[in-house]
Amino acid sequence: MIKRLLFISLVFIFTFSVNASNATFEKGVEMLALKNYAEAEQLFLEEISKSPNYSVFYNLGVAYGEQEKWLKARWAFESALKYKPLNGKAQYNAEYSVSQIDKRKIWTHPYSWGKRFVLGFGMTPWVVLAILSGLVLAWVIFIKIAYQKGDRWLHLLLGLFSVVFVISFYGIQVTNKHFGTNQYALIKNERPSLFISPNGVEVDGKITPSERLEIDSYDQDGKWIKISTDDHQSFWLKKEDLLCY
Amino acid sequence: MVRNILLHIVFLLIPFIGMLQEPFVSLEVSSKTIEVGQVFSITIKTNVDGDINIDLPNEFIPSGGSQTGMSSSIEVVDGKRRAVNYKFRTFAGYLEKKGDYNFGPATVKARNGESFRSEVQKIKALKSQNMISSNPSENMSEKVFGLIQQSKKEIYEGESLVILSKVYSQVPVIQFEEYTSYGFDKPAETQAIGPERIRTGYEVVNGKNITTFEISKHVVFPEQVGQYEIQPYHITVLTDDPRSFFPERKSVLSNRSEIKVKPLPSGMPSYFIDGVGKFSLSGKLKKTEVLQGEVVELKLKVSGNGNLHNIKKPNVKLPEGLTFYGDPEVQDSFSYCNLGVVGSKTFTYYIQVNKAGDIKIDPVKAAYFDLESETYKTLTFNFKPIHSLSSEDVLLETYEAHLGEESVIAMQPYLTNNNSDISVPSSLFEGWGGVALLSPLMLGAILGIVVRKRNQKEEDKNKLKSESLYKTTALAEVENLDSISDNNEKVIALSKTLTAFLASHFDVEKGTISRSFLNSMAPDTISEDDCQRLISIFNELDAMKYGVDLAQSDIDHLKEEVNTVINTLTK
Repeated sequence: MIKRLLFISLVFIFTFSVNASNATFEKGVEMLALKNYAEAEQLFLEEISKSPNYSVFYNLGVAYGEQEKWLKARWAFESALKYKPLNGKAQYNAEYSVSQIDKRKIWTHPYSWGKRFVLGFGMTPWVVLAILSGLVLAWVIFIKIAYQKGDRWLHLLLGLFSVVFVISFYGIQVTNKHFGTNQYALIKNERPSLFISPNGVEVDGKITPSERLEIDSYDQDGKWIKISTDDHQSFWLKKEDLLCY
Repeated sequence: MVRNILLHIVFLLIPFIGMLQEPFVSLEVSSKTIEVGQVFSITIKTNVDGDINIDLPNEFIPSGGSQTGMSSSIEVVDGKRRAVNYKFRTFAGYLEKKGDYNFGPATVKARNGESFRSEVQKIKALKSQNMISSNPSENMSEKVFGLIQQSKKEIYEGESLVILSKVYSQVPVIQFEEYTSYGFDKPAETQAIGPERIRTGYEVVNGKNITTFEISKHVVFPEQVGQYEIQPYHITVLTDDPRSFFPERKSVLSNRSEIKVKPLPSGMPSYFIDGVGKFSLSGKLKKTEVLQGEVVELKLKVSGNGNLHNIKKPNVKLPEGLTFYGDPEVQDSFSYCNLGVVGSKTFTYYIQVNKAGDIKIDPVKAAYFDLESETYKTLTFNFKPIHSLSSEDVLLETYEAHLGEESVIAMQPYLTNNNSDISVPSSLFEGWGGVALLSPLMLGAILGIVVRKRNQKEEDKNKLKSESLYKTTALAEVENLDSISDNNEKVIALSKTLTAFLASHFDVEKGTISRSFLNSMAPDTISEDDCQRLISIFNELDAMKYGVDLAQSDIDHLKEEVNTVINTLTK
């Protein structure tokens, strides 16, 4: 009886939280339909802080774009690409945003084709593949050691599933790392302050708003970020001056 | 006989090999710039089987015979080495008038009627150099004497002269030996230009026909101003004087000579390129429509004759906004002859265009000292203006073209569904999570080892059990022999018991047990002693089987032996 009650309560809580999340998103969509873009922006930002995903970032990008906040729009669309790197709509809108910032700049995808392939699968297929291939490998190893069999098909299985296991393990690691850290950043202002070290000397340098910066490292407190530009220059900037993804 | 057969095979194979290669005909000359009367050789090479013909100018006079043969060479085609087999014909001759002549093409008509042609070779014949030397008539008291001949006694700094070592002989000459060339007391650059072999001729000296021999010929570039002394050359001549019985060996030392090297006159322009002779200048800019930042190639070519190999690169003055990209490359294409160095020298400059717009480069000037007029002459090359497009204009054009292709007009619309299936994954498979993923593998390996060890133990246990069983059986059978009354039957039974025991012990069929089998088991499975003991038991058993009057004591002795062996083997 108690177990049954506990189960029902858990289901109820889960359903409620999902619905609550959906409610914020749907309200944001409603605001977009009513062309109340500022309100939609706030709602989607609230949703991101709770449950960031592709759709929320994408719609946030649209909200920014309609307000002609093209830098932030680009950031939002490229953040959406972090979840679905192969999505055509997000790529199109990111390119459009860049064209609005600088006509001469040609937009490039932030992730390589290999990475897009790995991330495009999502986490679940990689985990399933890793577990299945791990189990098959375990069985093959067991047969080989226990019964000292040297059949050709055993060796084939061993080779094939070893490859599958390694690739799927790699896929899991890449996916984890991809979501675990921020790889890129965009500047919020046209003229950000550039520093030689955290809290250090300010230096002259120019970063254009259309430039995608690579994040190298964070300081201990996480308030300063070290970035690299396209021409391999390194600067420290305050976290609040950057849009990271 | 064998050699003839082999030669026939080779000759038969050559056309076949030729068929496998691409057909070619080539024409080569030993020198492209020669003097009138100077002998040079012409070689035709081909892998086509057929008649060879060549167009020769009327002024060409063959001298000496022609030589034919077969050869092969290695050539590199597309980075790969390939052996090429061909036949060749070589002949020599000279031109009797100065001028420019075309030799060839050489044509070969194959047996199937197809014709193959070579390229044409151009040869320039220059007027013979007038050589100055000591008067031969002053040396007529000697049967053989040597003289140094030179084209000039006075030259300008940078100018070249020709020096010839010549031997005059009033008696027949058999051969020349130990030639030591002339030398200079100051630095001078020398380059041989004479024929590869000694050239004979005739001169009339004091009304007498004298045979002359041109031993060596050089073009010389003195490197300093002043008076040069030419030290004599030495040669040993083997002569066949009709007035003496035996050939005589004569050591010949030539005369000494001098050259005066004068400095160049004053009035040398600042753009003098150290050239002395006769030159021309040509040039080319690879392109005149460039992008800002692009590097454009400029080639300046100095052609002519004189001290071409020593000239400096012409000075190119670049306006603001243009810079040189690296050092200029120099490519030489010349040969040595009695005019000095003939050919061309190409200087390739790399210029980076750093500014946009129309850019004009000042003409290039290069001065040289003309030996005919004995004045400085100026060569000029004028540039076409360069039109440079700025990089911004290019980027804009590129982007506009790119935009035009895809017509990006507006953003894609917003999403109405919350697609949250791709969410941030947990770190399940990092750290301990990774270990969990690998645990099936480790589990499989550990279980496998455990099962294997267990199976091994089971096997050993079964083996011990079976060993004990057949030992007991064998011993019991030996004991029960007393129940058999007939001694012969006892021997047969004993032999069977021993064979059965050994078959069980070695885990083989009974039929396999034999003396040779037992020998093969030693010393790895059983010791040598045990092996010999078993063989002797079998020998005794066999002897007893076919013998008569068996004593009980013999059988008992064998029973003891068998018991001992069984106990020893199953210890």
